[in-house]
This record gives sequence, C-alpha cells and structure tokens, in this order.
Amino acid sequence: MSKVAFIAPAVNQELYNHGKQLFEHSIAGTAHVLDADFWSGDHCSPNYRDLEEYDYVFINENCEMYQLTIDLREGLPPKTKVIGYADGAYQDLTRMPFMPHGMLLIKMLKTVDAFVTLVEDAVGYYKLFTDKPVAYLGMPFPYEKKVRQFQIPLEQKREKWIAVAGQLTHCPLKNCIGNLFLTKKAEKVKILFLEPQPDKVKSFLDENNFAVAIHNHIVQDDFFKEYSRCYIGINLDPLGSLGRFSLDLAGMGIPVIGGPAQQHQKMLFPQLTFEPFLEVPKIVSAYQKLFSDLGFYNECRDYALHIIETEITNEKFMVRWNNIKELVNNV
Amino acid sequence: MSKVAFLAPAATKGLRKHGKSDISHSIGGVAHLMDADTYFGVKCNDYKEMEQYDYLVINQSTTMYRLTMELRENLPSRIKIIAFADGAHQDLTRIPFAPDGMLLIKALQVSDGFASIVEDAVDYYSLFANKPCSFLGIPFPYEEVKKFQIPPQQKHDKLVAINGQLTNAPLRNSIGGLFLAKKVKGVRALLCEPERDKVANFLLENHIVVDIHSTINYTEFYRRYSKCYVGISLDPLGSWGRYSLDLAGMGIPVIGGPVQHTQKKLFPQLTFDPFLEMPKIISAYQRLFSDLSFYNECRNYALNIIQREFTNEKFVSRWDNLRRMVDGTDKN
Repeated sequence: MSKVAFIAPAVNQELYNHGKQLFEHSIAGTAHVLDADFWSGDHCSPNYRDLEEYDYVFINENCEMYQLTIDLREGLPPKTKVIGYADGAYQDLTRMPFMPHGMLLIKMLKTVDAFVTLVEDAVGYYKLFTDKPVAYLGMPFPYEKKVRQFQIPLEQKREKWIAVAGQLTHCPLKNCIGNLFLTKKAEKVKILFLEPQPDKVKSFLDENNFAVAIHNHIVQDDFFKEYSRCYIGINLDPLGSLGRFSLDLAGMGIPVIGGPAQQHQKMLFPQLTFEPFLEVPKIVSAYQKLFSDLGFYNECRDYALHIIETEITNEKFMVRWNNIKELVNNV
Repeated sequence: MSKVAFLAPAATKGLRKHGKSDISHSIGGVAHLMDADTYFGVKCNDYKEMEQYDYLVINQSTTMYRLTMELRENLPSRIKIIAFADGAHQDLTRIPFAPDGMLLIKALQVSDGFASIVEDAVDYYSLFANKPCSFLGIPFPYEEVKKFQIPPQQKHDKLVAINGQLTNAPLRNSIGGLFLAKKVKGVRALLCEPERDKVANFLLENHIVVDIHSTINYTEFYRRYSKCYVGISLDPLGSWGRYSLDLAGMGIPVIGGPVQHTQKKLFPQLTFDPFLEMPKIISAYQRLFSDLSFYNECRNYALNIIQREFTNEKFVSRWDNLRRMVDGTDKN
C-alpha cells in the first residue's frame, strides 16, 4: 500500500500535517479517496525529513505553491514522486503576471514527476510545456453519501427558482452578469445567488427588475438545502475548471445551462452546453425549452444523473489515479 | 448627407476635434469610412458643438461609459448616440462590476444603438439592452497590405509570427504560441516583447529560438512580418482579430482561436479552441509545414474572403443598415 501526502496551500505557513480527512466535495475529498495525509502550508523546513516517508507527494497548485513544488522535487529523494494537482482554471498561465508566476508555473510543470488536471480536454495544453506525464484526474463526488438526499421531485417545485453561478462584485470573471440577464428570457422566475456585497448591487438589480434572493457565503450543507429548491441552474462560466456548480446541481436533479470549458458541465449536460458569449441564441432557446418541454427537461436531468452514477464514481477516480501512478513509475 | 462624429478615448479630458482621419486598419479607418469628424477625450464641455451632428459614434472603454450617458442625456433625441465596441466581448466580465460593469450596462441601455466588432457576440450584448445592436467591424486597407505579400517559395527561413507579449499582455496566450512553435524543428519565432531582458533567460532555457522586437509602427510591422511563413494567434480574448487579418492580407496562414472575428472567417481549417483542442492545433500547425497544397488552400481561401467580404463597400453597407435600425426605418 503506497503512502500519499496531499499538500494544500496555506499562505505564510510552514507545512503542517492534519492527518486523514473526511469525504467532502472539495480537495479534502481527493485526499480522502487517496487515503492521504492532509498537509497545509506554502514552505517547508530545509531537511524535508517528514515527507521522505511518502511514496507520493501530491501538491494542490496555485501561485503560492510553485516554488514549494520545485523545492520539494529538489530536496526529496527520487523514490518519492512529486505530483502537481491543477487548481484554479487552465487559463491561469495567461491570467497571472508572466513574471514571476508564469515562469514559475512552467518550471514547476517541467520539474514535477507528473501533473494532473481537473479538465480532461486541457491535458494537451499543459503538455505543451513539459515532457513529464500529464493526465486527467478530476475530483471525487459524494453523490450517494450526501448530495442525492437533496433531490426534490419536480412537482414540488411550484415556484420557478433559478440558481445563478458566480458573484457580481467579487468574481465578475465567472459571467454572473450574463447568467442574471439570461434569466429574464423566461417569465415569473426568481433568482437565487451568492453576493457578499448586496448593498452595492441592490439598486442595479432593482432598476433592472430582477426578483432575487441573495445570500452570503454558506457552508456546504446549507448550499445543498437552499439550492435544492431550484428548477434550473445557469453557469455560463468561461473559466476552465472542474465545474462544481454544475455537478452539485446535477446531483440534486437540477439541469444546468453552462459553458464547455468546465469539465462537468460538458460531461453532464451536452444538450445544455454552449459558448457563453457567442452562442446566445442557442442558450436562450435551450433555456426556454427547459420551461416549455418537460420531456426535454427530464431527458437532460436523467442523462446527468446517469453519468454521475456511472462515470463520476470513486472507482473511476481510483482507476485514473492508478494509471497516473503507473505513468509516473514507468518514466 | 448625414454628419457623423467619431469619439475616441484619450488622456485629455475635454473632447478635442482632430478633423477627418485617413484610411487605416484601426478605429481611424472606421471614422474615415463614415466620413466622420474625429474627437478625442472623455468629457464634453460644449454640447452645442455636438448638436451639428446626426450621429455620434463612441468608441467604448471604461473611460467612455459616463460620456456616452451624459451625451444621450444632454443632446436632443434627433442626434443618435451609437456605442462602438472596442476591447473584448468578455470585457463585462473582466472589469470591476462596481462601478464599471454597471456603467457599461447603463451605457448599452441608453445608447440608441450598439455596434460590435465580433459578429457572433451581437446577441450577448443584446441580452443587456433592448436597443438595436449589430455587427459593424473595422475597415481593412487591403490594397496597401497586399504590397507586402511574398510568395511562400521565397521564404527559406521558417519564421513563425507569434501574437501577444509575454510581460505586458499574458492574456493573449503568447506563451502557448511560443511553445507551439517548437512543435516544428528549425523554426524561429518572431515576437513583440518590450521587456526583452526580463524574458531572455527563460526563452533560452526553454530552447525557444526567437527574434524579439519592441513596439513598432504599422509599416515596419508589415515589412518585418511579411517574411513569416505561418502566424500563431491563440488569443482567447474575443475581439476583431487584427493580427490574423493583417497576416492573412500578406498571404500568411494563421492558426488561432474561434473568438476572434477575422480568424474564424478567414481560416476555418486553422481555428481551434486555444486550450482544449491542442492535439488538433499541433496537427494543423505541422501540416502547414509538410503539406504545401494545404498551406496554399488556407492562404488562398483567406485572400479570397478578404477580397469579397472585407471591403469598404461591405462596411459602408453595414453602417447604413445600422443607421436605419437606429433611425427606426429598418423594415427587418
């Protein structure tokens, strides 16, 4: 049985071992399924001794972790394999300052023993920058254990609540504004979305006649409880990442309209996946069809649930992980 | 004959009249074909002066949203205010929502019409306003650019033009272009990078053979880049796609992304998602070097489209349509 350490970022903190994790829908869930010790921090004492006991050191990458990754690969014996785990969006290399972050990211990709991604189609892009193995891993999803219990039968959803992804003030990049204005293409809908600064956007939302319920940050269980009442989700996010919003809603039996850059949106809802800026007529048409055609609604919903049950399983995750280990050890 | 003013952003505050513009591949070219008076500035101190015009076309950027609203508020309704999209169609998601995003939406809602430089993005803008919105584009001085065409058989060095800059504009994905260039042996890349010293070591360590130049004027751009065999513009920002068009006009095939208007129109066989279709991108790039008939097919298709679709006549016809929509005389 191989020993794995999973390292998550914690700014200005020396690496610290938190032990094993529970199964959550987050990077901690990855550590759980890998049976890894969960570490956090962004730098390491010079002797690296504590990490030498592991066969695989798995690092959740962001710009604070590139240097640590490079240092660990230099400092640890070759028998301990260092694996970079993509976080954020695959466009990050073009979204951060090239100096020093972009250069460090490329150096990290070339230094690690392997790099694993959250988006299957982005593997080829990362491969441009390194000769090391790059593969899709994804993230586990606690469907049976948690999310499934939040499914509400459609006939109980009398009000047409629309779940809108993103935040207006904090994260405009996720195109929350496009999601919001799309909702207006159907009548009598109510919108549920996260916005930590409601005072700043209230008059704008009033002027544009949005019926919204705004909430602040909430814990996972409250998210599932609140959003389970929604009829449809909109997630026209152009950032290429896991697509957790689409997956969470799909797990509760809610169809989501979204963009092709997110792994789970594309996998789960092929009939509801469109380029967020350039395919608006198709988006509007699909959105309206979800209200007018119950057969189409159920087809989208059932397809997503089928894919969750057959493809987004811990077993499939472990098969991918075992393949990656093989790739790393055969180099 | 209607009178048009074209307003562009500038560091100076009060609007200043610069008169007529020459034809060029820029917003100046737009003003030229509209026979517009060009103004630069971000604030109007003399509304009376603006009252002489029938149409005010305002080149939009964050500094121009307020001006657009103020002009609409203070000028009589017979003068039509038309917002002209500049930047990328993703801008609404790239600027701070409060206040810039809110102001952009308000500018869209108060303008009498909106002109986009990406045809497929018209409906995205239309989400936010009930006003007429249509594709206009930018004129292209092909007859001038044509002079820089060099037959591919005369290009012995395999020089690859890379769009973007590493330090100043990483968003344009020049890093992807540079690493793609390496997928063919013996090529040299040509790149604009004003901070050469800062990236020289990185390029050397990564075995990227590249000729770097600093910012240059149009003529120098055409002179230098006409020597290139292939261009790479894997830019994910949705805009006009001037780089692809300039190179196409010189007879150079360009590999690029689908969100740029000209790339998609000119090079359908060389257009791919810049991040998600890398195996296809590499294959098309290598084929341009190994298959001369494919190369010529891509090149000739683009030249044909330029001569048929990127003409002043087509631009003026779109401008006339937009005016009719704004005036409410368009029957469609």
